[in-house]
Amino acid sequence: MRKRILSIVGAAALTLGVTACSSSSDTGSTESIRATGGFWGVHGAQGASEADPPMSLTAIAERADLVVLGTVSGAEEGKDYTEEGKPPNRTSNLSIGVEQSSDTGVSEAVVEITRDTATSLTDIQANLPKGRYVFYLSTWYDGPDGPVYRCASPAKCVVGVEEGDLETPRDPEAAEELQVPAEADQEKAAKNDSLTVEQVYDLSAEAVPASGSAS
Amino acid sequence: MNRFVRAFAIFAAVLGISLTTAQSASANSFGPVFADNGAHSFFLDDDLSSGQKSGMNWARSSSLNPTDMTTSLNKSYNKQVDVWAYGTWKPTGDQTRWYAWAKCVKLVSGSKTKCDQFTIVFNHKLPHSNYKALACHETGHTVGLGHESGKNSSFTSAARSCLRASPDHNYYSNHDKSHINGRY
Repeated sequence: MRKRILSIVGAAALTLGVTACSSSSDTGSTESIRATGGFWGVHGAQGASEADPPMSLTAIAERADLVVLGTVSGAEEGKDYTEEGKPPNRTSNLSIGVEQSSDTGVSEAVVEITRDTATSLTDIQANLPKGRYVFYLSTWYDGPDGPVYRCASPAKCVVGVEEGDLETPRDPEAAEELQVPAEADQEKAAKNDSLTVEQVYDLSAEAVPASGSAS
Repeated sequence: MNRFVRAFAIFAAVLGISLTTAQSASANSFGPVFADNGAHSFFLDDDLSSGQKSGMNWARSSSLNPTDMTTSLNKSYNKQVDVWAYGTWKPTGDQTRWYAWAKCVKLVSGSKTKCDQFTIVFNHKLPHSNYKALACHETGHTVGLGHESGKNSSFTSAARSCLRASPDHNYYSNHDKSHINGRY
């Protein structure tokens, strides 16, 4: 009986070990499927090597010219960067309906983000995300209707909160390495609360440099 | 026989626990988009710099070739090539912050997970100090490997990977290779 139990335990442990990687990769794969499909999927930032990626909310904010809390209210065709003889290199200009802004008087912001080649604008416009996010924006160019921003960090420029945890829908794996400032954790612990998107915004807005000094 | 069974059970238990522990420390996602088969052909466009071309040749022959995937180099472009590597002087706002990026530009007809053709694009406006590591990283995405967290300096040699977000290592980790060899 004891030998049989040992054999079963051993076999179970071995099976668990062999499948642990595939289980974690299945979990990661499921999350990636969820992420690479849909709106954020076609505007994803996975598969790219970002120079000097910021490792905290504060670090992203310090690179931004503008941090806003809001929702995606619309999408239009952005600039076409396609080069002759190469695959399409298109962008979407997202309109953000702003609830709070690090600059006073900003009620809407437009940010250019790179879009997968095969996706039409019509598909995107029919599937706008519904969540509230913090957007970290840098100046890019002056459009006919006002400034068009780019992401301060493509992988981490859109930050949401899902069940108390940070999420970075443009690159879901990036959220794992994003540090929340210690003050947020202390505040959470004191209130026995989960992290909120409002807290993320408040902490970030404080770190945005004064106008003209962000890179 | 009884002693053998007992020894095997203990060995399996220890091995299983070790594998579980080791892989949770360095696991990365695999997929959801993969190469369409185990033969991966490359075309390196003329607009790549010599460093970028050299890095891509390294990634193909020294990083990926030692796995169960077979690789080949096409002298000219055709629609059947699996990986088309080229450079750009015209990055989008996002791309200005990327050294390079890999994208599936053509899925296999009827499939949502198998890619017929990837591109690896190098940003000429943002040179990198180690094109072997960068090319290894982007090539890894073309076979389905996701990013690994942490810094290579905190891992032993076998666990270091060019798939860490700031690539500074020229090879795939044993974990990466087990993903590749398990699928292709």
